[in-house]
Parts: sequence; structure tokens; C-alpha cells
Amino acid sequence: MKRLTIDFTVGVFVLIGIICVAFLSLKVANTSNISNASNGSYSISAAFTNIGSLKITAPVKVSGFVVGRVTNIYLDPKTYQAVVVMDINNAYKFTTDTSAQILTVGLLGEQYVSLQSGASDTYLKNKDKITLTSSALVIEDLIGKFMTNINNKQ
Amino acid sequence: MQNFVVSLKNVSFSYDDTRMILKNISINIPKGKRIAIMGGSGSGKTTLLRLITGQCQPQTGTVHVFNQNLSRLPNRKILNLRKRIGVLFQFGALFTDMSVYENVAFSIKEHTNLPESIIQKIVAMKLKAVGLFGTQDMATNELSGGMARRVALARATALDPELMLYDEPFTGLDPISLNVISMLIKKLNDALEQTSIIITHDFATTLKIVDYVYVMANGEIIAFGTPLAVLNSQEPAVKQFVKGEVTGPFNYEFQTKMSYNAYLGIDHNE
Amino acid sequence: MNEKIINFTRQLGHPFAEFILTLGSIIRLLIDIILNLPFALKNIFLIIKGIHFCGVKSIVIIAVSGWFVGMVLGLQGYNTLNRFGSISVLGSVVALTLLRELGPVLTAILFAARAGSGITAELGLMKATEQLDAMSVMAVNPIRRLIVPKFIAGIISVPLLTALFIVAGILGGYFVGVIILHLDSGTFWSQMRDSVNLHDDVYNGLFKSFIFGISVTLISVYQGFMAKPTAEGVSVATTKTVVVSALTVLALDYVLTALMF
Repeated sequence: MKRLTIDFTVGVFVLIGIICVAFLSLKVANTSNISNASNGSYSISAAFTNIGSLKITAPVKVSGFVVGRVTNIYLDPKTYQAVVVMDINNAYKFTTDTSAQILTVGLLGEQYVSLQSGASDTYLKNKDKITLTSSALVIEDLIGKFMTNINNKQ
Repeated sequence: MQNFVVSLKNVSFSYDDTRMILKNISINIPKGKRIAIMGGSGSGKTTLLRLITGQCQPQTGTVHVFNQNLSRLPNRKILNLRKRIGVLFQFGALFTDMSVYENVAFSIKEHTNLPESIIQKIVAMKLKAVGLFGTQDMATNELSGGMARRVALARATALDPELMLYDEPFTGLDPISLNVISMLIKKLNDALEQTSIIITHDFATTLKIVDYVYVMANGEIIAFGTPLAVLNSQEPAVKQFVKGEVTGPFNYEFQTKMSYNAYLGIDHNE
Repeated sequence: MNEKIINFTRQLGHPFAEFILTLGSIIRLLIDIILNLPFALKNIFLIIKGIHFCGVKSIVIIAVSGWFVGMVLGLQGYNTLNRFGSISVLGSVVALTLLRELGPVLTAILFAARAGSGITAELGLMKATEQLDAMSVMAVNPIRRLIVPKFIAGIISVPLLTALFIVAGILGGYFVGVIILHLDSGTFWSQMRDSVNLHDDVYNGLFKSFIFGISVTLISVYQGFMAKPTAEGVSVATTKTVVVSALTVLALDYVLTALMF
């Protein structure tokens, strides 16, 4: 085979390989870090009494639309509440009376943080804290409540 | 020390310490001569060649090539020495994934920084010398056995070596190719004033072109002299080898401790 | 009796001693290769030729195998997930399986069978026909001239082929899930993107394949270099390349998985 043909086919091969790697990196994997977003991001946190099985990198959604990701979760040693730190895309502003809730996709799916904007005039800034939170629904608790309800009615 | 190109002194060699391949061999090869080393299959001829190129080291004795002791040389110097030696392998050993041109140009490209245009001229010259000018672009598998051997000869002489080693150059060739190769060996040897060592068991062809002959058997040298002297030797082993006789000191029957008659149960002494 | 016991023990120990010996000489070859790496850059075309041999010629087998593996994953995943009513995560099941395990492992094994055995056969044949000897008496180091370019070519090719395998597999899974079983295309991709992490899954998978590339190529050149210079020796060496490579890749995969995830 001619040297030129070999050079050419090898070039095509390497190109295909690089396209595949790029496809995997860009299209298949989440380029999760919102902080890498073109217009930057800011960080807010919220304390929950129960976060269920919420994990780092879980999405933060508003009306089901992803606006950020969970970047850190730790336990506040004084209040014994779990503090969830989120990176939010700079394009979206939230009022100081925004409420945060942990919800589940479907019955058994992944958990995510849902934000609900309020009516205040002031907006949350970097490192601010959301005060209005409601915890994750834990199935065992639900069943427990359900059972006591039934018992009470009888 | 005299001006010997290759000089082996009391060399013994074995691959695995159980069977000695070479036993106490001494050979001196003067500059500009053609020497044949002959012997039956398995008599250690090819091993001798590997000792001269420094691919093996002898257990005892010394090997001097160009007056340098190979066992004392560092690897780098042995490599430099090899650039002055050309080797023609038994079946040519052409690189199968390269064209004829690339084969002949191989050592020139590896060891010099000559521009491509000059290399092309050298290769053409070398191929012309073996009568194969015009085959440059052929693949090695398109060549006949005789042609492959000649290309290998052109490749081996590409860097104009001072010492040429031929490992069974006449094996497996038709009579015409065989004479062509032997003629070329003589011609190249004279033209480049090389020293040649031809390892072979083809008496008839070799005796016509060499100055001296060593005959080896079982790792030892059993005869040395001019072709005529060896041809007329009265030593039984040499005589048998030269004439190719079936009976003689070399027995074709396998040597075993088992008794054939006892094995078949026809022992008459009972 | 005593002698029998001694002999038996000796036989027990023999394969082990052989293994240690082989390991030692492979490592020696690896060091030899590493020391000669800079010299291979003098002749880039040899590396390109190597990539052509072990990479370009493996494209079809890798892409087709990847596609079918992906289709099987899609089908099996669909059947299993359907029982739990969570077919929406099919995309991430297919992608994660391929990225983390099947892609690197199967590509390395296929590479050993397609290209590794070819490298072994070529080197073994060169040894049998005295080409390696010819090269070294021409004062050219066969490791530098032959082995190192093949080694570099293998290391470059395997991760690229792995990426190709995974992409073909994901497309195969997409084909089964979305086109045949009518899953929602958007769910397939978004679920996949949600659960696949760039560093943990994509880069770790490719790193795995890089390690596999080194080991399979090293085993291939070693077997070819050490083959008995006969027709039988070459065929034995070729078989050994495939068997030893497959075992090494599977064992290494466990170690790497344990270390990474």
C-alpha cells in the first residue's frame, strides 16, 4: 500500500476516535459543573431536616427546568440539619423568600431540589441561605402516617 | 598478533551446558581470503557465525574480529563492528514487509544521513552488481528463491563491508542460480577486496571459489587446507564427507543403548 | 517413594517458577522499550504504519461488535427495567455499562484477537525466517526498530477503538430502545446525561483502556519476540497472546475497578 494511503486512513481513524471521545464527553456525560457555564454561577445553600437520598451533582430545578446542581452536602453540627449547597446559573435570579423542596422523579427515581420563587423585591446573592425548606418525603414516614390515619378512623 | 581479520582461539561453546556445540576451535582467517567452513548438519557451523558477529559469547576461549576481543567489547562497540560486517543468511532473510529497494537501502538509511537521491543511486548500483537492476519496486514475495538470495547479497554489501559471512548461500537453489551466486560471491569479493567466510556443505561449488577449507564435524575441526589438499585427504572422516559416502566414521544409524535383537526377542545367545 | 514426593513437589512448583520468570522477562522488555522510546520518534512513519495495522484494520470489527453489544444491552435492559416500571433509565444503564466495563474490556479482548495476534505472528515469523537476526547483525536494534513503534501504535489505538466501541454501543442501544421499542428519544438522552459523569465514567473508562492497551500490546510483542523460531512455535505464541491477554485484561479490570469506583 502507498504511504499516502496509509497516512490518510490513519488520519481518518484518529479523527473518528477523537470525535467519539468528544461525543462521549459532550453528548453522553453531563458537563455538570454549572460553574463552567458561559455566564458563570453563584452559590446558595439551604438547610433541611431530612434530605432523603439526595446526592452531590443532583439537579436543582424550577418548574422542572434545570437551573443548577448540588455541589456539596454537609451536616450543620449545631442544628443537626443537613445543609445543601447549590450552584445556580447566573442567568436566573431568585427572591429571598424562595422556598426549596426535595422531590423525587417518579416513585423510585432520583431526588432533586425544587425551587419555588416568592414575591419579595430583594434577590438572593452569592453565599445566601434559603430559609423556607421542606424535607424529602420518606416513604416509611408516609406509610406510617397512612397507617395511623386508618387506625384512628376505625 | 598477525593481521588476521577473524581469529578464534580455543573456543568452546554450548547453549545449555549439556551438549557442547563447539569444542576447542581455533581458526585464523587472513585478510582478503575466501575461506569455506564445511561440515554436516548440526556440526556447529551456524553457531560459529553467531560467535563472529558477537550474537553469542563463547564459554571459553577468545574471539577476535578486526583485532578486537569481542568478549571484552561493550555492546555499543560490537554494534559499530557489525557495520563493517555483511551477513548473507541461509534463505536471504529479506524483510517481508518492505520492497526490494527498502531492503537494500535499509542499513544505509539506518546508519548514514545520506540524502534520498544518493541512496537511490547506491541501491541501483548494488542491484546492478547482482544483475537485478529494475526490481526496486517489487515486493519480496514476488521474487524467486535465487533472486531473493541475490537481493539479500546486495543488501549485505550495501555498506561495503570488509568482512562477508555467508550462511549456506547455496542451499535450495537450482544449478543455474547456484552458479550465479557463487560467481557473484567471487566477483564482489575481488572487487571490494573483502574477506569472506562461506559456511556450507556444498563441496563441488565451494571448492571452485575458495582459498582455504576448514572441515568440521561434531563441533571440532577435522581438516584444514587448500581445496585440493582436502579433496585428496586420506583421513577417513574427511574422505567420507567429501565423497558423500554412506558408510564410514559417520554412521547414519541412530546411536542407542538398546539392542535391536533383544528388543524383538530374537537374542540367539540364549 | 521419597524421590516421587520430591519430584511431585518440584512439578507443583514448576509452573509457578515459570510464571515468575515470564513476569520478570516481560518487565525487562518493558523497561527496554521505555528506554528506547525516544528513538522511535525519529521515524514517525513506522508508528503510523503500526496504527494502520492495529487500529485502522480493527475499526469494522470493533464498531460492529459495539453495535451488537449495545443492542443486546438495550433489549435486556428494557426487559428487566420494564418489570420495575423504570424503562426511562435505559439510556443510562446502556451508557454506564459500556463506559465503565464492557467498552474497555471487550475492546481490549477483541484487539488482542485481531491485532495482538497479528503482531505476535509477524514478529514470530520474522524470527523464524532470521529477519530479526539479520536486523541485529546489521547493527540495528530490533527493539528500537520493530517493537517500540508497534508498542506506541497499540497504546494510541486501543483508547480510540474503545471510544468507538462505546459510541457504537450507545447508538445500538438507542436503536433498540428508541427506534424498535419506541422509548422517548429525549428521555433516553437526558437520563443518560444525568447519570453519566465526565470524570468518573468517561475518563476513568478511557484510562482503563489505556492500561489495557499497554498490557495487551506488551504481551503481543513479548510472545512474538520470544516465540520458538518454527512454524509451530509461531502458532503456539499466537494462541498464547490471545489467551494471556484475555486473562490479564479481566484480572486487571477487577483491580482497576476496585481502585477507581
